Amino acid sequence: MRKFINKKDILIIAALLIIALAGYIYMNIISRSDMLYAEIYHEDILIKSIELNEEDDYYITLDEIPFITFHVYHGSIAFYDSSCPDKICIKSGYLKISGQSAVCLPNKTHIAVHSKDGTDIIDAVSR
Amino acid sequence: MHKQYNKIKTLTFSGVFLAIALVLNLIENMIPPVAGLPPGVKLGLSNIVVMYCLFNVNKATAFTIASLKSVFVLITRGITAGILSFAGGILSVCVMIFINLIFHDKASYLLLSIFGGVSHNFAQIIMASLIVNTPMLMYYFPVLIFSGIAAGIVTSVLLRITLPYISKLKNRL
Repeated sequence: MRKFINKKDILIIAALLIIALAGYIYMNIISRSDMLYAEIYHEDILIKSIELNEEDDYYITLDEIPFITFHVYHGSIAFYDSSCPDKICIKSGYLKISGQSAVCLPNKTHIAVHSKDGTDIIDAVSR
Repeated sequence: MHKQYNKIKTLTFSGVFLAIALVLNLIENMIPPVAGLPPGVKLGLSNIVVMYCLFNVNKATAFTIASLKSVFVLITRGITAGILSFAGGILSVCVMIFINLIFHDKASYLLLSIFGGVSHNFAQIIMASLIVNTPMLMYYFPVLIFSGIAAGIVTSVLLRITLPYISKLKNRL
């Protein structure tokens, strides 16, 4: 009978978790926050480009998109308040790795974080 | 005579297993995508069936079920999804065979589920990035390993629960 779990398995799983954690930390360090900027698009037109700095902590609402409030915080940006019913955009959380993006479909708005030196960690998303 | 009987038995069971795998795939696709996770991660419920076939029937059956499942995906959801499913399925079975080999046939179901699930998603993401022609999506890998472990636990627990019933069924015939 093949066993369902062995003692060795715990070690292997722990090793995998450590690798995963290491990768995650590495990525967060590689994406240097002093080189990040966020872009806010409304109906596919770039409305505003914001530099993301570590000391940031403010909320911003754009005239063109009065129903959405963004929170720019410590080198990241997120949807903070929105008039959409699902609030999926808010649930997408804080974008702080170059290449990340979030979208609010009902409001036809999306935001993306990019790196000034052109290297994005995330290039495309598979579905 | 006996040989023919066994062949027919294997054939019939393969059909049933394939149907179960397809239904599980259907069900897990109906779960709404979680907001925070990337869309590539899946529960891998159909992996339960493939894993069972790999170790309690034979390797050929496991490969067949994985391939036929991706044919089904090809028909229902298009060629891209079909290619991804095929890549994931085949790599997953190969990895499970490999892990089993390393552990001299004593790998636990938990370990096999985890590696099977992670490699399935891994192959799909690599195939997707080949199709879209972009450099690899490094961002996914930590999340992939994490969710692969979680999914592997779920899968192996489900297999543990259902294994006695399937064995009883096979022995009765």
